[in-house]
Amino acid sequence: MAERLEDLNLPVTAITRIAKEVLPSNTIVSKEAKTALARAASVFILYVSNQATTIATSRNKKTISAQDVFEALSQVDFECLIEPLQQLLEDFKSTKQQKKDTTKKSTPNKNTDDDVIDLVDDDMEL
Amino acid sequence: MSSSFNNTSTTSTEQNDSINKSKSSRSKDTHLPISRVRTIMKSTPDIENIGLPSLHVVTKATELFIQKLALDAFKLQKNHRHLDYNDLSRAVEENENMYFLREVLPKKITMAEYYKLIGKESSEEGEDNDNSSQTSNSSSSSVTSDNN
Repeated sequence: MAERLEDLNLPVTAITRIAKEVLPSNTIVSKEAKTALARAASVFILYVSNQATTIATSRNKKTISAQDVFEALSQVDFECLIEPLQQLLEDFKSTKQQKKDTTKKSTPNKNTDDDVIDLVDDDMEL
Repeated sequence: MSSSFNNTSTTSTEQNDSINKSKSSRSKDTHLPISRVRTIMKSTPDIENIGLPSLHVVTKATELFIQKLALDAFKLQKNHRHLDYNDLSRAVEENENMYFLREVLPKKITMAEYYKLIGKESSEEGEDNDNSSQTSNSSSSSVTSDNN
């Protein structure tokens, strides 16, 4: 839970950088537009996670999975985002697998611990 | 014995390098601070736990959303290369799937327009002031009438 109200804001510089990636290089983004984009992004996160929570609760799950997020996105009419995100999820899983493999190799004694991590990994809590 | 020890030490440094590489490539992919995204998600009512993969997906989704909103707004203004608040507000108005942002990024109006709206509202009781100003926007009027 956020302790201060500012904790719900996203850094404006990061938001601006992301927005400028798709805009022509000489575009000027006004200060007001930057804060508006940051605000919109915060609300978007709440909007999607609220939808994903509803989906997860309806299935008696306590942890929100990536699948719940995908379904939430399609429910709120943002199907266009799903395809690039699925690619990202695959990359994320493979880098995690890679990391796991390297830790396994470097510390062969802890093999049993790694196996346990394998089982819980998908429902990893934060 | 000593040779095998040397071997393991070199491989471990190589692995460390590869881990560092993958880390840097991932931080290039995502610009938004993941911990902040998690804080925002955690403030959703009834939320319990957020899986790490889903956190990454939401973070990236937010980035794509920002880019979509910025690009839509940019396409709406044609002459000058200057992205302003009103462009974003108009993009929100014209995209049905951004309806949830209408109260976050409302259209700016002048005081004269505001007084006109207030005057209209008092003369036509029960009418939503948005309806009177934006009769062309059918989707907004249909939803507001549902709410009423």
